[in-house]
Amino acid sequence: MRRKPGQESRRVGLFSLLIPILGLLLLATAGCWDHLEMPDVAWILGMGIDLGSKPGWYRVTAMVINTRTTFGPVGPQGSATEPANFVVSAEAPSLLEASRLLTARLGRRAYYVFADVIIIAGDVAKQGIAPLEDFFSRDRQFRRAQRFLVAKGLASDILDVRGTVEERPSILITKALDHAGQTGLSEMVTKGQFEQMMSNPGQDPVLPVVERVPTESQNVGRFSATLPELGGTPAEPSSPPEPEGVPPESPSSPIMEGGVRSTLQVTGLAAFRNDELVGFFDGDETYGLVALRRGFNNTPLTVTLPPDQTPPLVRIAPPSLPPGKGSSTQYHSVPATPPGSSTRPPAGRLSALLFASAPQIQPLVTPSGGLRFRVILQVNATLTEVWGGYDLLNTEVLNKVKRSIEQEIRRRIQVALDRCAKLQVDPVGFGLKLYRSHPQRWSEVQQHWPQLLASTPIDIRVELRTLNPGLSVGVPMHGRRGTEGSNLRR
Amino acid sequence: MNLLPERVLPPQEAGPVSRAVPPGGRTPPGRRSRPGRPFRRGQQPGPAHGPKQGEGLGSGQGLGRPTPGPQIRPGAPVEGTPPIYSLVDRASRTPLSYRVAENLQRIKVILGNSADLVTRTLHVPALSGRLVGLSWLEGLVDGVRQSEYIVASLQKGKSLQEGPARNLPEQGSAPREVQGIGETSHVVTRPRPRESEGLVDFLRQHLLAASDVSLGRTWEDVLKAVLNGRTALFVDGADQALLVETREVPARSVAEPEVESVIRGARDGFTEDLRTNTALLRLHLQSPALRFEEIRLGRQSQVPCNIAYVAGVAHPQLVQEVRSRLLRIASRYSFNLGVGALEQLIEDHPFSLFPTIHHSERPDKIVAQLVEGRVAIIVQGTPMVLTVPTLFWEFIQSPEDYYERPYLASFVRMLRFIMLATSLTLPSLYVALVSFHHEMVPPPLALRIAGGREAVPFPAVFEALLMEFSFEVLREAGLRLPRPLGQTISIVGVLVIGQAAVSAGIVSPVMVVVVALTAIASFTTPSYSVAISLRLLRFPMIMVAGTAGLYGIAWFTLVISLHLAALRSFGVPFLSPVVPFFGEDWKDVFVRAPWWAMRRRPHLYTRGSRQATAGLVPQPALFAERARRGNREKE
Amino acid sequence: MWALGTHLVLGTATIYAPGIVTQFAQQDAWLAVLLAGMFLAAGGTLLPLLTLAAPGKGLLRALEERTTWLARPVALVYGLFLLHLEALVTDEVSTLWQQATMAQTPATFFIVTVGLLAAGAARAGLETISRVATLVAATLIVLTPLMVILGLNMIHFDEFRPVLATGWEPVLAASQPATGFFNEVLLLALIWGNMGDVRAASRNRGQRFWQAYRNVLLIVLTTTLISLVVTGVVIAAFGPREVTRMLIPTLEYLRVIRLGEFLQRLESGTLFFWTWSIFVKAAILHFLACEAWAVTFGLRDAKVVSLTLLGPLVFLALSLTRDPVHFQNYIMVWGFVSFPFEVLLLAVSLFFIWLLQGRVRPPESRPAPSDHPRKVARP
Repeated sequence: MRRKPGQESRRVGLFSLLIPILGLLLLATAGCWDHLEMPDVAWILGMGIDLGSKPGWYRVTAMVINTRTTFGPVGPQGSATEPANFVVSAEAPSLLEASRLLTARLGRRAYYVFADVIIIAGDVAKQGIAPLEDFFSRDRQFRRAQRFLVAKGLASDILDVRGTVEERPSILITKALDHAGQTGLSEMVTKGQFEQMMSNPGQDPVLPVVERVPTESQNVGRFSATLPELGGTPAEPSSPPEPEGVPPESPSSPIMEGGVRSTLQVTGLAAFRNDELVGFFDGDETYGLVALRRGFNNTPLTVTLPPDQTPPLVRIAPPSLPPGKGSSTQYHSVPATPPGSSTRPPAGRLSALLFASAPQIQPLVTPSGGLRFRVILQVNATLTEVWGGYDLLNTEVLNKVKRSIEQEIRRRIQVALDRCAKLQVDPVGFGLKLYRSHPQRWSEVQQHWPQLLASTPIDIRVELRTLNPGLSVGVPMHGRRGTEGSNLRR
Repeated sequence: MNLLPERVLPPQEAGPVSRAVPPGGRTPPGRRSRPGRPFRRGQQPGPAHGPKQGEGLGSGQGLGRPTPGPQIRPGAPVEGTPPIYSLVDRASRTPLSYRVAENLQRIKVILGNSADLVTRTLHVPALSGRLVGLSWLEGLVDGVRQSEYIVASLQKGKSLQEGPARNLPEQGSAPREVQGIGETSHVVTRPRPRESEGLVDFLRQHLLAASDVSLGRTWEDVLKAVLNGRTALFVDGADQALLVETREVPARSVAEPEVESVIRGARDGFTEDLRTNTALLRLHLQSPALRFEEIRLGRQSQVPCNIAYVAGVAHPQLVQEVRSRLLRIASRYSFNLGVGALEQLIEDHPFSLFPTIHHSERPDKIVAQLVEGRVAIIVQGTPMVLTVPTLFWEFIQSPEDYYERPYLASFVRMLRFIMLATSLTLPSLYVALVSFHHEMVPPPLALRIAGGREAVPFPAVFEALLMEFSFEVLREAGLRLPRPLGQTISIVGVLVIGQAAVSAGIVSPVMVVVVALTAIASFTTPSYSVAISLRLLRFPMIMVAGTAGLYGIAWFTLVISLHLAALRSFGVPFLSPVVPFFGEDWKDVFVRAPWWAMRRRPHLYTRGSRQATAGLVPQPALFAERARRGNREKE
Repeated sequence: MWALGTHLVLGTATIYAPGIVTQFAQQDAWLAVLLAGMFLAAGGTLLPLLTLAAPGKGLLRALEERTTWLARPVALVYGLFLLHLEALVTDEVSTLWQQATMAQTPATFFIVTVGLLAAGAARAGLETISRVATLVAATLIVLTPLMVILGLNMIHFDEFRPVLATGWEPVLAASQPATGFFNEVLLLALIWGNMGDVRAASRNRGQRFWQAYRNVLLIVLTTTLISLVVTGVVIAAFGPREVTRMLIPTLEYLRVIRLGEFLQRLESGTLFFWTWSIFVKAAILHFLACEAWAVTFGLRDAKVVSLTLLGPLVFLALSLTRDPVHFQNYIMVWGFVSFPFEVLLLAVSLFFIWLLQGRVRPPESRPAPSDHPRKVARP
């Protein structure tokens, strides 16, 4: 590129402008392909998948939020009769087509980026979640942080609940999941965790279960499952609670006109083998399973103290119980009970909040090929309710209380393990631990692992390290022990 | 009188710097110049600094040869200063006459009988009644000084016969000649070789009471002086003129600069008069090393311009570069237009959006920069003083930072950085998030924005551009309003109009908030020129964000960074000391280290010379004494 | 120079390497990355050797000084390879952004924008590129620990167990593609001499070697560390089997970073910063390609061809755009594909430089510099 001497090149000046010019041209001719205005989008906050009416078809339900009325500018548009969110369904042979049908029905593009909750009907889960999970992992709108749930019954029913304290059921579910530790009866499993559990060797996935329950019913939930004397119904898998005499709520009827308010409850876990639903964990089983998988996070526990541990000092007359529902507790009855105390609950019960991190699971392989597992769970407890006025300053009493708590935890874990064995699944991940520490042994046993696990001895060691009595150490009782000066502080 | 010349003479070249292409050979590389065009990249020699590792070179060949600039001899006037050249009167190139009458007539002709030109004659008794002519420009001259120091001293001088006047030529020894003008009767003869010098010298040394008297040998000198406020004094029998300093020009008093005010600090500001400005600099920096060099700008206007630097601190090659650039354009324009034009004529990157020359109205700031090794350019007629070289980070520094303690100064400086980035990117980020990446917005906020946007008929890009444009209009309108109202109206205006637009459903409420925040952020930038650059850049950035979302913003930001990284200001990379990295200089970029910690000058144009000794941390005298004793013991 | 080398590697290594390496080595992928770093440290000795053999010159210029019959073909090969590499980089940008957020934007858009940026940067010169590279490198260095910290709740170091369950062969196999990415540092040989060291003349050969090798080691350290962190974090968060399933594991990791309920789904934002590094890599590659093509045509100044190369680049990128699965397969053999260009050719050229070191051609026979002052290199 020679130039004659003295010739100032004007071309190069233009040449260097070429880049900005090209850039501007690019800008002007670019098509804004992904430009998506907010009013063109339907925000879907929750998604439900049911079986379609034809075999192999899916019915997708979406809960859409009505941004115009909920968040729009203050003015005459907002009205009380327009719902804040509504539910749309569509049926199609595949999830993608169903989603497109939803777009067609909504008039706006279905946008799942804020869809935190994906509810899968139990029937769909029984057929296998793998095709769903494949769809969710390829599409960029779905994320690993979205939560999967299994619904007992129809997923569309779950999404259609209204009148709860949260306006949107998906928020209700999300918050319930986030506070799953508060109940101890479920746990949050995200899509990513589910996939990870599916792909991990030696672990079977679980998902929380959501169901619709009426709020003003006698059913106080599953808390009381272990205490039949309180009138709770025993746990039953896959039977949605139907209060008698209550007409089923239609999805579109406003909440005010008749019907019973219903809300959602997230309790229990659904067990999967590979990707197929094989059964449910309920009640204590869930409790124990969650304890094995995650430990405790502010989880409540109610313990009945066995009779021989009732401390001799305190006697409160038990109420007269109907026959047939007698508790296994024997009490030493003491006269001089104040009148009207027959309604008191029986003595020997306490509630505590438990904190524990996930238990250590150690596989022990003997050289001869024997296998056993040791589970060590270290728990810290905070007492919240103590019925019976125990003197916790007494070391003996304290140890007995501790023992009873440990025993109860152990019992529940055992129940969970029994259920795992019955369902032939390994949701805790014993096999995974074995794989990680003894990969050769794992490769030998992995074919028949769940059956093998059922027959493998598992030592469960629960250690209650600290027991925090809270801000008080006892209930002052006038005329009983406690007011006689030093008796309380012996 | 015919004022037009018969032919127009070509402009004289101003020295070796702007030499035209030598015939018969290739131009040496790196020395291409054309009249009238500003300096181009690749031509400045720049201060030599060793290539640092990691800085890298271009293709590695063909480094331009350094300029053989004009040599500077101490004490001599700068060579290459362009001569006066008037297209109007060729006669101005003639020498001075030894007759007063002719000289006075000539000056009237040259200045075109200008209404403010005053001439008078008087007889000096000390020179035996010799005629002396004075001419000056009314309005530029202090009448009191003039009458006292010149007229009175001339009229009261002693007689010729006494003292040193003995050697002066006699008046009456020559034959009579008829005088054309004037009332005198004595004759004027052509002086013998040394006579006029002696005469003028006598006047200067013994008669005139004025302190600043210089000699004018040609009409250029006389005109320059008279136009600058001096009084020209012609003597019969001498072909040189005395130029007496009698300047008193109408000038603004020294006041605080309005756009660069500080809470704590000096409050004087430059004025339009060159000498006042140099005086202010001298007041702030009383060092013998502070030098001023004069260059006259403009072929016809001859506006004085001073280059200020601190000898021994400023790199001599930098000073040379400034000098040569100014000289290059000094005779290219007929009339100099002030500092703004000057800046645009000597800057390195005329097509760039970012300024590479800094300017200020504050003497303390200029002095601080001089002490760091920069060169200042002061021009008569504008209170702005330019400094070179400039780094990008200076546009974010404010003199306030140096008067406050380091914590506040550092915090405010970091705030300014964040605001700088915000003012450039906030609207485009909003547009990108709302149009492309909805998932990044937290859901409650996203749904709220969505609700707000339901009513708006425009896409977000258009909304943003509309609001930004209206804000620019408001801001510009606010400049024309009286000062206290101006700034307030621009911000309040945008909020009020924005609110009205929201109620009308034209824009969404979040957009108004975004634009107002951007406006406030842009006001925190201390330098107006960079604020303008960012304002201009904001619009293409919004468009890019509307086209390609965050990818577009990333792309555009990188383009801007590339551009900034390629800029040089008089040879110094624009983004130093961040890149290329000079650790010691980081003390004044993002934070403001305490004064006792800044011990070295900026690296690139002073080689990091020390400006302070060690051990300056304020501490009780006892500890300092012990430390010093400890140091001495070690030696 | 450190910044240039870092970006050359990290631009692609952090995006593609974790997935590929995990496919081979599962949970021992981090060992593979370490191995790759060691291989690079070994191969990097070629660069100081170049400094010794031809101080102050890049590889091609040094070769050109001594021969023409060898310099031109070598430069041609490098030129083609570099264009190919740059096309792959633009492909990577488009894949990333399309997968992450902008699904409908055509690849052409990304290709043209990256090409324009790279051409403009190459035109501005190596100095400018290295300054921007330093700026962006600082951003990367801050971003990587931030990425780790934000994802701490997901990281379980248990995922690394069992260590070396399948032995060393998969680890070695996995280190091949990683080495292919890392060896891109050796492409800096084309401009290695431009890193001037004024005091070089006063040192003996050993000291000069270590001086130059120190720079290489610094690059190796940074890139290995960051790649290690990224790979490790990705495996620790998802487990090796999941990582194998993902197309771009790093992107998936960015997608799950969350700061509570308020800030989540931030992958576009983190990609924003990451893209800068890839842009810089494209710019460096473009400059190297300009250098190579300049030597091919006997030009002294590399900048003149920068805009011209934009055309072949876009064409190449468009025709090479593969579907991501095909691309994954290609990357798996990348260690073998790139080895001859990056290492072998360099070694062979070095050998010839050393061999012919007495034969520097006189300056008159070299083509004259282009006259325009803009093309004259600035100090």
